[in-house]
Amino acid sequence: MNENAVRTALYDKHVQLGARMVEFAGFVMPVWYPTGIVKEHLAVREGVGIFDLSHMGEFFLKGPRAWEFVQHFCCNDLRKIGNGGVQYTLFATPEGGVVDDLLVYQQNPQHFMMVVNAANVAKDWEWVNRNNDFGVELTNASDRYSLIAVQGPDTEKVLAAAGFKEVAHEHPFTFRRIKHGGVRMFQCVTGYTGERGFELIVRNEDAPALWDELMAAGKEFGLTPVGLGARDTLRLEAGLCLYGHELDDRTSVLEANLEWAVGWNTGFIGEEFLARQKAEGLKRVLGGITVEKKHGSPRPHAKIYADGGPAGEVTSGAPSPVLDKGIAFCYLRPDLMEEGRQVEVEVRGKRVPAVVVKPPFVKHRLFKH
Amino acid sequence: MATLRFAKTHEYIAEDGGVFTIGISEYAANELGDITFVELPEPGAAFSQGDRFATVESVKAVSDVYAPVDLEVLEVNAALADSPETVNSDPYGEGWFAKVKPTNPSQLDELLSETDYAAMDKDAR
Repeated sequence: MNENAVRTALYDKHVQLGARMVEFAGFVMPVWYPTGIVKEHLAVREGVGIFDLSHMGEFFLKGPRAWEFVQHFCCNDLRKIGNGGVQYTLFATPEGGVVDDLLVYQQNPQHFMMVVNAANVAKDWEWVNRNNDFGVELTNASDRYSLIAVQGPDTEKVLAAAGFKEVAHEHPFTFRRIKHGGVRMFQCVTGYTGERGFELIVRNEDAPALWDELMAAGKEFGLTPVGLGARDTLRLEAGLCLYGHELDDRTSVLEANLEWAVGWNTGFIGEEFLARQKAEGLKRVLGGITVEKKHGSPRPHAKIYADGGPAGEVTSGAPSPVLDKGIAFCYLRPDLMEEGRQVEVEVRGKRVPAVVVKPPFVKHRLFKH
Repeated sequence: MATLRFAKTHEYIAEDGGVFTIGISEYAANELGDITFVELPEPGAAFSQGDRFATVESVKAVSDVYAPVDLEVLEVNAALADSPETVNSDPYGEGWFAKVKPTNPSQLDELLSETDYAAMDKDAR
């Protein structure tokens, strides 16, 4: 491991728990604990899991024109959220690529926070500073804040046991600034697993005590530490994109099937390209395939074939612990994007049958039934 | 008690009363993490030492398993199709891959003993 890799404020906790530590985006992160990826994954689907996501980056934005700034840089329609709202959005480029996908948090029209991918913090920071024509005061607080996520149907029980005042998960994609046990934090009704959950953003110095508190409170509910391995399979099952796999600087927001996150006629960077691409039609689009368990799992870069000819390529693939078969995100020719369409995919050098599906592979359960 | 011998590539071959069984070491199983799929050869297939003999998929990765010696496959562990996780939980027992006949038995002496394998610097690759 690179000895310059950054340890999060929770590094010692992971080591004490016996985690397998790996380098990811310049950080030393737990990829799995002795529990193992499959059980960690199922804990989040059936009970509750806790994640250290402190590698994620936090930017703060402040100024009279902050709202305009965010709408200019981000492709989603910012009018869809108000104060206390959170929105999934992307930095698109004028050439049709994506710089990053992120969440924006609107405290009020003059104050925003952005949470960006760890691997892209430096690039994003440069991107938002390059064209800052709005006089917005930008702060990169990535190395000062930790992010602890609690995800799964039993999340509220854990937070209630830890003495949090507001634990109802009634409004996904909202956040509030709270003081819990004298500690200031952002309590966000967000996550990237498809399950109910909260993400808590705290200063590094407050993170270890909060982790311990949640672990103690969650004990009776089977709160399970979850590493990046299961985070990846959870987001894949939930049909959520990962930058570097489904998204990159040569893939457009529309190709990634994210038009729901495009606010047309808002004048964001990259809108002209996307409008033109929409009019001309897409050459490829993000979809999914499933493969029977007996064939194993499709993996990134595996080629897909339809009627004997090339049809696309896998971007992320893994065994799905919930479905008990192989699942994969892939770019496909748009004419193949019909549920149930039979195709073939290369698995360990052999072509095996696969079926086209529209992600998510496992339905989101953000609201109580 | 079976005698275990190891290849540097983390496969074992166990000898017990003239029966030879192969699989992957506990170290290898731990490194891979949760194993979700094992592709095994057909009984009767023959492999030379170092040939790809089987493939193991964990949630995160796909790895080849090599024949530790020249061998012929007598029987494979069909139970791994339904419960590949036994490779993690019991690599030297229920998690075996195949019963084999070494076709060049002198190669067995070149493999690592259990003690030597335990002492091997496994990070050197």
